[in-house]
Amino acid sequence: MADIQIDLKETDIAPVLEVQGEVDVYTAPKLKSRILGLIDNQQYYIIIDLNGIDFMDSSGLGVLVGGLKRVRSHDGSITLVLNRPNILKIFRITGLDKVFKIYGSFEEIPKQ
Amino acid sequence: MAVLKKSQSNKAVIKLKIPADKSLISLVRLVISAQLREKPIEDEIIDDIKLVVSELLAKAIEKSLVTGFLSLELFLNVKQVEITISGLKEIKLDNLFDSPYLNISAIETLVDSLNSTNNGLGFSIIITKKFGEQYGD
Repeated sequence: MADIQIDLKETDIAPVLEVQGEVDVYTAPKLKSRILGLIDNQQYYIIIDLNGIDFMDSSGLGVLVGGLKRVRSHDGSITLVLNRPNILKIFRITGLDKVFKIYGSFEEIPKQ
Repeated sequence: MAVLKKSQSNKAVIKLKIPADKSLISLVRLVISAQLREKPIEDEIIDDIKLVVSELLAKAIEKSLVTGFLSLELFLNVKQVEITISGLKEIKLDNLFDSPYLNISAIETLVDSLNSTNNGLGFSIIITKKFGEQYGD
């Protein structure tokens, strides 16, 4: 059974959701719940670290896009931390690499 | 419940049968990964296959297309992986892969061929993916 672990880390830039495991049709709802939890707490600038995941499918992409739409309605953003080639490929073939700001590591994110 | 059989013939075969349960799709990915990583097949090839198969199974379950159990057979030929998934109601592939993000066009970039067949024994989808290294027993 696919497993996912999501930890919340507070940083100077924005809250960071660190995701470990696999994001598929079974586990994606857990990620959605965590993202919505932040938004419900009026956190509209969110960083999601995906460097700990081994797999993502369209369910995961849908959760991320849905979250992005919600934060953008509050002039917010979702920034992704991702350097895994197999996951980056999914963003590239779907064109979502042009929709999300993606950085290879947390340290690369501009501090504003 | 999954039933696993491995043939001893020249063509390596994995046969899996699972109920329409989203939580079991990761098991299918694990089996595919374990089988293919025994061979000189590039990681990117394996990742592409896992994604397409996983997406297919997820969509089939979400759309209630499964007639009983989902069956998956994996064949390894020289330089090619072929996966047949059956136990589905008939559907056009672009209706199956209807995600706005991973649609049929995106899926087709990940495999060498993606076809469906209905030969009287039921509807099946066949995925093929070539790999670069010579595969031999």
